[in-house]
Amino acid sequence: MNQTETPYYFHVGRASDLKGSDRALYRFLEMIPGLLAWITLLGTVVISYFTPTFAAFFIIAFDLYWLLKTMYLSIHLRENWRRTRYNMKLDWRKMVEPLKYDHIYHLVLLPFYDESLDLLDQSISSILNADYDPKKILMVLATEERAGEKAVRTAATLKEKYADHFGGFLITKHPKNIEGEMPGKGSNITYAAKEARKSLLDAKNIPYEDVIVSALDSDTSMYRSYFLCLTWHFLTAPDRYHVSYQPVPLYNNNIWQAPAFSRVVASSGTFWQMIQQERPEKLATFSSHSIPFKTLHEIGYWQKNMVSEDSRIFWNAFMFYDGKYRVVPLSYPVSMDANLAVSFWQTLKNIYKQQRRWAWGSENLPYILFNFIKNPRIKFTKKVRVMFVQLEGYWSLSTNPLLIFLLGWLPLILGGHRFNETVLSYNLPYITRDLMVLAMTGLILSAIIAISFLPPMPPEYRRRHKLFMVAQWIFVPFTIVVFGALPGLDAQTRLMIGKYMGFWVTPKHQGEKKA
Amino acid sequence: MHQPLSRRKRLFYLIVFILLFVILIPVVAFYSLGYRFTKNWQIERTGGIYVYSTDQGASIYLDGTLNRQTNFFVRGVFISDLTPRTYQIEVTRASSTSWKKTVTVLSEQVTEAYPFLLPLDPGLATVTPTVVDSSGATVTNSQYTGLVALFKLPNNSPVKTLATSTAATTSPEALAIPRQNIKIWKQNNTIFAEWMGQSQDSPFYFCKNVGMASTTCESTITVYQAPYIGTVDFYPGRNDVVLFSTKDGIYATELDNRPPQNIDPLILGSNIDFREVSGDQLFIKNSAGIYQVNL
Repeated sequence: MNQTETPYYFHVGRASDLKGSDRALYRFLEMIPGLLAWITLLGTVVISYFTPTFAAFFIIAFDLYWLLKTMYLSIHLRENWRRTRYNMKLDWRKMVEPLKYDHIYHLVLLPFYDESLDLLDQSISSILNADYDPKKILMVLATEERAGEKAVRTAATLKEKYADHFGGFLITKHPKNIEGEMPGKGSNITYAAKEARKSLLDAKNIPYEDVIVSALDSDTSMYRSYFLCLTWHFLTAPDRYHVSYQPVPLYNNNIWQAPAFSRVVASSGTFWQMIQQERPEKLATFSSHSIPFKTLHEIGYWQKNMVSEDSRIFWNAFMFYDGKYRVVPLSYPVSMDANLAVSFWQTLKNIYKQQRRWAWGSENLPYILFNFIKNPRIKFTKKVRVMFVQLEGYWSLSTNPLLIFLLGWLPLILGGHRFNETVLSYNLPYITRDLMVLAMTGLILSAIIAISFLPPMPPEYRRRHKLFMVAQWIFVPFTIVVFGALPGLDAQTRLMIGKYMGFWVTPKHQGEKKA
Repeated sequence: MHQPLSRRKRLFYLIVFILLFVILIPVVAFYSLGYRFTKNWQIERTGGIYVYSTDQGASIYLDGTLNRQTNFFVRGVFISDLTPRTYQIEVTRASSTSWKKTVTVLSEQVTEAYPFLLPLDPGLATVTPTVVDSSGATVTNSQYTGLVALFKLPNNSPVKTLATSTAATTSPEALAIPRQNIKIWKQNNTIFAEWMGQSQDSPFYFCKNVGMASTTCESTITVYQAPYIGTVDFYPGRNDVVLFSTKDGIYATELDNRPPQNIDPLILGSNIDFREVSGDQLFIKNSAGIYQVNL
C-alpha cells in the first residue's frame, strides 16, 4: 500500500468523519471504553446491593489480582530501570562507530505555541549539546499562525542564535483555520514535516531512507547520547522502516520546583512507560518519539484531526503495514517538564487536564477496532491480542483505582443488615486493607527508582527536600484516583457521549529559582 | 548490551503469577469466610463477636480473659476466629456498672453485642427556680418553669421540648416514643418495643435463631415487666437501652434479651420521676427538687 492507496477511513478522527453505517459503527466503537467503565462501576453498586456476598468475593479477588499485577509489573519496572541506567552509562559512540552512520540525518521537529524563549532555548541547546554531529541535525521550529507575532519573534531570535550550528534550520508557520484540521500538535508537526521535506530534504537531496524524525514536545531536553542511541537502534533494528523508536520520558527539567502531587503523577507516568518498554508488543509511541522519515511520508504524516497524534501515528503505521509494525524501546531517557503553574491549585488543575488529555488516547480504540473490522490482511490472533491489551488498558485506567480505593466498602454500605452480620463482611475491610498495604510496599521501589533519576539537587535546596522526594509516595492512593481514574473516566465518558475534546496545550512554567 | 526481558522469561513470570492467583484466591476466600485450621489441622468454620461500647476505657473480657480495651479511636472490637459455641462476655469500666452477656457464636456469623455501662455515681446539678442574671437581679429560671410543666405532662407527649403543651390521651401504643425505627411504650406495667423498619433489617433482639436458616423476627417484643413501671423513655443517645422509673428509683435495661438481661439502677430513691429533653438531656424530679443528670 502506498499513501495514495490508503482507504477512506485511514485518517478518520471521529465518527462524524464517516457516513452511513460506517458512522454508526464507529460511533458505537467510540462508546465502548466509557460503557465498559460505567458498567463496571455501576455493576459493582448493583451487585453490592442485591448480592453483597458475591460483591465481597469479587472485591477480594480483584484486590488479589491487583496485588499480583502490581508485583508482576514491578518486575518489569525494575528490569527496565537496570536497562535504562545501563544505557545511560553506555558509550554509544563506541557502539555506533563500527556501523556506517555518517549518512543518517536527524530531523528534529520542535512545535510550540506560546512557550517562552527560555524554555525553547533550553530545548534547542540540549539538542546542540548532544553527542552527534550538529550538521547532521536538521532543526525545525514549528510555530502556529494563531499564536501571533510573539511566536514568530521567538522563533526568529532562536534561528539567529542557532541556525549556523545545525545542518539546517527551518521555521514553519502552520496556517490557522484550515478546513478539516484541529488546532494542535498533530496538524502543526504534519505541516512542519511536509515543509521540511521540501525545504530541507529535497533541497539538499537527502534520501528519505536516511532520515529519522524526532517529534518532540517543546520542553524536551535531550540527554547527551540520545541521537547516537537512536541511530544505533535504527541501524540495527530488523526491518527498520517498520519501526518507531520510543525513549523513556522523564520529567526532570523542573522536578525540584514542582509540588509533590505533580512529581508523583509525573513519575508514575514515567514508570508506566518504563514497564511498557519491557513489553514492546504492548508499546505505542507516546509524547516525544522518533520515526523514519520514509515511513512517515508513506503513511501520510500525523493525523491533523484529533488530539492524540503521538500514539495515533503508531496505529496509523500499524494499520498501513497490516499489523507488521512495532515500537523499539530505546530505554534511554529524554527529559521534559513536570506540571508546574504559578499557584498550587492551578498546578493541580493543569495536572488533571493533562492527564485527561492523555486519557483521551482512548479515541484510538474505535480507530483500532474499526480498522480491524475493515482490514482482513491483519492476522486474527494479532487483532485479538491487540484488542484485549487496549480494552484492558483503558478499562483498568478508569476503573481499577476506584474499585480498589473507594468501592471496596460498597457491600458493607449497601449489603443490608443480614450481610453485615457475616464474618465475610467483617473481614472484607481487613483483607482489603492488608492486600493494599502489601501492594503499597512496592512504592519503596518507586521511591528508589525516582530518586536514582533525579538531577542534582540545586544548591539552594536543603536536605529535607530530598526527604520529601521519598515521603511524596504516600500520596499515590490519592493521585491514582484523582489524577488517574477520574480524568480517565472523564475522557472516556466524553467520548461515549460524543462530547469530543480539543487539544489543550499544557502551560509550561519552570518555577522561580531560589535566591 | 542489555536486552528487554525475553518473551520466555515474561511468560514464565506470567504463569507464576497466574498460578499464584489460582492458588491464593480460594485460600483468601475461605479465610474471609472464617475457615481456619485447628490445632489438629482440622478445618473449622469459625465465627466472631463484635462488641461496640460507646464508652472509651472499657475492658472487654471473653470467658473471663481480657481480650481488648476500647479507647478514643477504637470503640468497636471484632473478636474473630472463634469456635462456634457459647461465650461469656463481660465489659467493665472504672466507676461504672459492669455488663455481662451470654452469646452464641455461629460459624460464618458475627454475633453483636452493645453493652451499656451506667455511672455508679451520676452527677446531679440542681435546677433552681430562680437565677441571677447578668445585671445581678434575681429572675425566674425559664428552664425550671419549663421542666415543672414538662413533669406535669405524661412522658409520651409528642413534643419533647421545654415548651409546655397538652397531649390528648389515647392508646398506650399510639403514645409510644420513637427513636431510629424503634418505638417503646408501656402497658400494664410492661415495656414493649416495636421495630418500624423493613423486616429484613430487624435488629437481632427482635429475632430468634439469628444467623440460622430458621431465623424469625417479630415486629413487637416485650422488653421488661415489673410490679410497677412509671415513666419510660430511651436512654440518652441509645435506641436499644430503655430508662424506666419504679417505686424505688430509675433503672436502665436493654432490648437485647439474651441472658442475662442487664438491669441496672441509675438513681435510687422513692418518688423519683424523670424526663428526657431533646434526646440527650436527662432531668429527674424528686420531693426535694429538679436535677439535671450528668451521664
